[in-house]
Amino acid sequence: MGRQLALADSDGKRGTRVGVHERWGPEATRELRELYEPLRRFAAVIGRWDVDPDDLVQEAYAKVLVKDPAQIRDLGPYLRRTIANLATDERRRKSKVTSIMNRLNESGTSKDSYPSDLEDLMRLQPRVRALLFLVECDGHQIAEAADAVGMTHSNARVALMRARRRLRSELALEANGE
Amino acid sequence: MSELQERLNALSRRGKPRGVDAVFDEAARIAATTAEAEVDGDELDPIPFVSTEPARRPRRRMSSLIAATGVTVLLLVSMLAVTAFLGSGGANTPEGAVRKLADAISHEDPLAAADVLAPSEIQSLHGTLDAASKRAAELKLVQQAGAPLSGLDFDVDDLQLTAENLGADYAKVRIQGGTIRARTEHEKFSPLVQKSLGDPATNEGRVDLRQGWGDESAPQDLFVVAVRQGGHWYVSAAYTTLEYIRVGNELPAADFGSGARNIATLGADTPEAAVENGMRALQASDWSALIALADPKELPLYDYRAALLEHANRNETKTEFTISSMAATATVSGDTAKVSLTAAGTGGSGGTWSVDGGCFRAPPSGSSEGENVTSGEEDTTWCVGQTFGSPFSLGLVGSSVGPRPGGPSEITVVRREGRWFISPAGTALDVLDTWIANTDQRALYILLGQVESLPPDAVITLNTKVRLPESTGYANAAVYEFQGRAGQEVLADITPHLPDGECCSYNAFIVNADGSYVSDGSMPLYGNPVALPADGTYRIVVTIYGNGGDSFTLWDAAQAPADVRKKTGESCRHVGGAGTSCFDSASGSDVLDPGVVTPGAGTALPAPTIAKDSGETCVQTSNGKYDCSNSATADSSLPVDATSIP
Repeated sequence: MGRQLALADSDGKRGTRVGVHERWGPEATRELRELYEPLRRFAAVIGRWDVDPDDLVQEAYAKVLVKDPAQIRDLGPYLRRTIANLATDERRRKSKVTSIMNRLNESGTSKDSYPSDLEDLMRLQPRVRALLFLVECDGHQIAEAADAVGMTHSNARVALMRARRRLRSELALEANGE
Repeated sequence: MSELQERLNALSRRGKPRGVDAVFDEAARIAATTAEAEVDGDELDPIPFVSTEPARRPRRRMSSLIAATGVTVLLLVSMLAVTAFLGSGGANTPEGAVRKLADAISHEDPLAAADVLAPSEIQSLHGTLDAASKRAAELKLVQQAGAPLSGLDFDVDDLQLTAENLGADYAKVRIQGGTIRARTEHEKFSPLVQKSLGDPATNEGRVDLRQGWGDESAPQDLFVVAVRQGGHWYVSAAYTTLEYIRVGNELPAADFGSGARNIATLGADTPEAAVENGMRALQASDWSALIALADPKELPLYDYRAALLEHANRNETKTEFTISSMAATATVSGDTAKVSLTAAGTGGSGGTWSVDGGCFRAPPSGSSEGENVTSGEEDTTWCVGQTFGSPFSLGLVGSSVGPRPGGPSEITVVRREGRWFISPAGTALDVLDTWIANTDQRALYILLGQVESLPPDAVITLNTKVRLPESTGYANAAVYEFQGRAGQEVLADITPHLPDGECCSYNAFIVNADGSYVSDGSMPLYGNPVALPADGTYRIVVTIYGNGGDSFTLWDAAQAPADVRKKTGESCRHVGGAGTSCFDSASGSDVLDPGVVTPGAGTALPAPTIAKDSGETCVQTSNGKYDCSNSATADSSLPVDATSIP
């Protein structure tokens, strides 16, 4: 899944490679591993239903492990943003009907078979869903969450407002048996 | 825990985790066999460089360079269209066509480039882009209409090409080596564009064409498809695009030329039938029928029908809507017709949809395609030909309460060998025609992020509520003139206030009479007043990203209500070009007004003392931060290492 950066140098030979563990060291590696669980949860929220969250996390790890650790000041936000980008790439790789056709076809273009109680969440834009998760469940500030999913702070605020409003009314309808 | 949180948690735990060992070790194995690509200045997969330092983060960056480039490319294509229409052009071989194009790009010579683009694909652009060229010169977007690429420098070097025969008149030219370099020369752009670009530094990027594309385990050569028309070879944008889609998705080969050979059996009997049959095909998800209705000379979908149908099958692409009524009326002029469609039905969720000329109303849905938040939560109507919004995103189709006067409401249909076909390009160009015709200086200022140049829409009095325009959105603004005094502080407020302590999503900054920013672009928002430097006339520019029609008040801060003066912890500043920078002052280096620190009951604050706004309480949260807020739902917090304030 996805595409890793190709390797080339001016002579057409592969560049000098430093081992991953040599580059990252035991402490940085431990820090990366400790991020697995929160990253997997984030990936599970932002990714398509038919995409294994572990695939997104794995690819994000693979991308970051080829980097120089000194280039990355904070692994958590960096990896979350990477996962968000990978999830977007994955969605774009799938064939889609246009926005108008998707609105005409509420069941979407893929065979989603998620539980009915998650349907409301799955109908949200993935990044909005991820925003909600980061703010409601992980306790992030809106600004941090917006950065993680690649939205402007202002868009994130509006998106959260609308999503909460909509979900509240849908949950209320469910509670009333509608 | 709320129901929402429970469901989010359930979603986050879906699937069976493979475990950190399996995932991380596999990632490390992959990384060990991969090294970072040496791509100069142009990442294939841009990875964010995210910093947790309390930096001022851009709230919104207008891609000024892209906007400027996009418009000049538009003009380039207009030049291409004109000369292609008039000239014979082309090259003797497929490789020759690609080399000619590369050479034209290197010399920024649109006339030479025009010679090698397939005439059948760009002839229809002539009228539209001729208008664009003139309009751009009128609006001073370019210095000269005849030199639209001034400021951009391209170089294509060391091309290594190999042609592969695809059919009698079709060839795939593989690019097995070479580089493309692009450079901007700030001073050569028009003054209007220079202002948007901001940074006067020369920018440069380079791409090594050897790196190919596709799966990293088996990267493929880049390629261009060439077609032979009238005995000459041309580069085909349509075939190239479709071939990339086909190859990228591992789809069956195209049947080159089959559309042209079978044209007499494709299409429809009448222009109305072409459109109505298209709607029925769409409703039935009959992609084969829909493909047969597209003009094969303009867009060779028929040649690629096997690939497209396979793609649709794999993804189970289906529509789910009904058509309860439909009527099409055509106006024919020679081999072209304009068809106006009126139709209605229901969507998959049972909501109704309708098309009435230039406006489409979709069934209500909270989920929308695309990455940006669109304006208008409940607005599900799209009308073509809206002026505002970036033409380089989906801004040509803006949500609106109705079609813009003069906007297109018709589908273009063309006749080929007695059969009528839907012309996607012709229809799209009608939209562009309207946009170009309706683009005025105001729209251009907004597009280029120079809203400080806008004249005022009205004169306002401080402390008086004003109703904002209906369809403000991503790239629209309302400008108000007001009188101020030296030292007077003003504060902007837009209602309705959003629940949960969230502030609204808008920008507002104050401009002096000479167009310069007051207080270096600081925004009088979120409880942060802006002081006016002198007695005189000012303008306040307001852009809003929510529903239009909200109320706006510019307050004398001394007279503003308490809830307007409440600080939310965020400060915003207008930066160069169209950007704004907002940062949470609680996490930045700025210090809130010092006041008495009143820790929450039972919580002891460690040294150093936390600086906070007077009247706030600071409570240590579970993630080790301090939440200093005037309400339980406010957004601000301070890092634990906040500077001590005496």
